Amino acid sequence: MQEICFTGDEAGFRDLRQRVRRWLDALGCNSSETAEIVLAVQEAAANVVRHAYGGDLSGRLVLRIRREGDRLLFRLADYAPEADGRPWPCLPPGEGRCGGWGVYLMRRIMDRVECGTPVAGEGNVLEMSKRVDGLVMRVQHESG
Amino acid sequence: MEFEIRNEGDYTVIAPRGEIDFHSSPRLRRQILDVLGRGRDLLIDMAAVSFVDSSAIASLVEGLQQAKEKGRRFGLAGLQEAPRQVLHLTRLDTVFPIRARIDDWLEA
Repeated sequence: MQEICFTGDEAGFRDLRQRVRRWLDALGCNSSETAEIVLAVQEAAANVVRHAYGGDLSGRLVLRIRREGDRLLFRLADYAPEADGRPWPCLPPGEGRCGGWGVYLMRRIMDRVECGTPVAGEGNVLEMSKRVDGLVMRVQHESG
Repeated sequence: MEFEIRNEGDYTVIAPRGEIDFHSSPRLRRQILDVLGRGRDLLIDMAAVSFVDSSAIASLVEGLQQAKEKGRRFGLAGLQEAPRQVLHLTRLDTVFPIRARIDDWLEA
């Protein structure tokens, strides 16, 4: 399991991407899988800063990633006030639009994206999961 | 993210370096709109950009739209794997004029 605590500022996000990349590389994900997952995590965390923290870059976030066989499970928690339950906008891509791709990308990359249950002190939780081809060989090796 | 800006004939070339996310994309957006506002054709040299998020893509889309409205040329070059993947995922890889190298634009 990997746990990454970070804040919404530029350095916090740079560190987040670097640590997620390193962890995925060490697990055996290929570069394409790693790039996609880092992007989905980035978009999820950016939405927390924008929507849950209202743009406050000092807000704390905690990402936990664990492997379960050939799947990766992500849990992103914040300490902002509980959200109003309205779903984040998920717009299809289009040349005429200058934004709104974040949730689209998360759903395109991950197999599952949904709200989780906050525990003590947490404000909001987002859970995502993805089956990763690069981990299949590892699972076969472990079970063989 | 840092960037260099240089003029090459009719084009202004913006060459960002590093990772572009929602913290830094407003700076890129301002530069893009500034260059297009001065009536220049614009190339974005992505060769030294290792990561972009959706906000960076939004800045590029806005630049493309502005260029079209103003009748200026707008192109991308030198895309690394990760930024190329983002364009593919958003289906914008067929929307942006893209060439392998900046020189491919300048020599055309």
